[in-house]
Amino acid sequence: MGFIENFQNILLSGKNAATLAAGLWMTLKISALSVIAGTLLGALLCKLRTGRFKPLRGLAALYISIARGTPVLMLLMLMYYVVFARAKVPAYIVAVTAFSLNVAAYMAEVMRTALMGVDPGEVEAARTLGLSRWQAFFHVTLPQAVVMAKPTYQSTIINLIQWTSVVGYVTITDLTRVVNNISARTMQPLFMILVGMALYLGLSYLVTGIFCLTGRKNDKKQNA
Amino acid sequence: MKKLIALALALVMALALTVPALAAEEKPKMKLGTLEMLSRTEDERNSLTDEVENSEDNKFPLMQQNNIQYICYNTLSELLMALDAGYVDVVQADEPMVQYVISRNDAYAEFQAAVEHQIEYSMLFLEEDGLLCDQFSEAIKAMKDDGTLDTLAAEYIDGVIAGEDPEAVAFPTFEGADTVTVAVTGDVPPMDYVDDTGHAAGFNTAVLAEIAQRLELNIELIQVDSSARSLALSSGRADVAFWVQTILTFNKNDVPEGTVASEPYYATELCGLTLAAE
Repeated sequence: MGFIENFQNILLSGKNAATLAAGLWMTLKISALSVIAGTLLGALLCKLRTGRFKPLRGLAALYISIARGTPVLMLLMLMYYVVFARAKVPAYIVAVTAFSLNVAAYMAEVMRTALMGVDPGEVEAARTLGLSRWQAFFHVTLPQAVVMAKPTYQSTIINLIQWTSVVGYVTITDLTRVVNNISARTMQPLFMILVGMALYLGLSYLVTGIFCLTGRKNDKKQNA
Repeated sequence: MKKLIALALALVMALALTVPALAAEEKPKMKLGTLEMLSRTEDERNSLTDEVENSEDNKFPLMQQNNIQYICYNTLSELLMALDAGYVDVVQADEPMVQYVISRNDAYAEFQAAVEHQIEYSMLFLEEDGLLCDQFSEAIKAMKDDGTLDTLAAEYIDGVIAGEDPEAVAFPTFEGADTVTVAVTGDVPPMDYVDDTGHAAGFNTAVLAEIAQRLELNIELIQVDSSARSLALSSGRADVAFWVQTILTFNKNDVPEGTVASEPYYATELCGLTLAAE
């Protein structure tokens, strides 16, 4: 069967398209919730990692090194099959928890690197002008750190979306699982892999598009 | 002088590596793609095959004529892609699966030399759930006796291979009854697949629905990766997983440690699948 025939038979007829959409939605849901929770947890980790209290700084560094040094699939399976094995927690919540814990470590390092990139002299100058520590942080450090962190933050989100393709291991029917199901039933694995890749590529362009839009908004604000 | 010694050593090493390899190449080598087994690793499977090939009791024609090397894959789709890419010469799968693939994709054909291994489909339980296993076995025996299994096989195996598309079975619900969680993979049509509405379908679920009806049990299905079935059982996420046992003379107990298998509900044989001639 050729590509066009496969496209018509598999994607345009029956309910495969709707099932693919449901899988896509699950991937988006897990990714979006993990980004939100991971960013908040990452901010907390960054605060601890850059704080003055040495034991907490060490603990945060240890957590980051463990989370970044272990495969997220292992963490996911540990959470699902051991930690939450007897709990009646929906599988996707377990997945969001595992991905948030993992991505938080990356987010923390992205934030720390961006904060370290801001010239301390500028903060000192702001303090000399009478701004409080928080005011100096919000008006001088944060805006510059956000600009510096943005490209890496964007890459981390795109990576996260791709990492979620392993959630099929814990009974979740995400985009990859739906692609596998359809390819097993239709016996057209190559075609379905291409469809899956196109959809994941679409998701990564969606993220890039959102970041481009926010970039333009900021540019407009700065020009105004 | 040093160069001469180095050259001589290199020659000796090259000879040491190639002579035994040449000596071993008596039979043509055949790479056989197969689904991963939970009870045995790829290496264990290959050393077992070597034992059978070299034993006087070798009554398998394919093993008599070829030097078999098993390469394990997780899903049928991966097996087909490995066949397309030339990583394996033949895919070994059970007969309904082979017939299903051929009926859906004319790029594949049945491999003529039968592998002649019998396989049986059963359900896998943890040893501690032996009572539930016994109840399932009793129900399966009764279904064999009254012809229900044959009727279901005709509809959900032969019918699907012939191009029919029966709806995914609806599971009965019994108020206050126990719920049994069953792990399906959705990877092995027509036995276990996911239909276009996203529901688990196939012969296995049809058998399961009938057992649930007879034992008055509620069934909850979860879809897991094929290799995560034993983990799903041991962690308590699933009470039952579908299982295929290979019935070989050299292998009497083909289940993972700590588990028991129910009475088989379907028997068939392993077949070969290869690329159709251009």
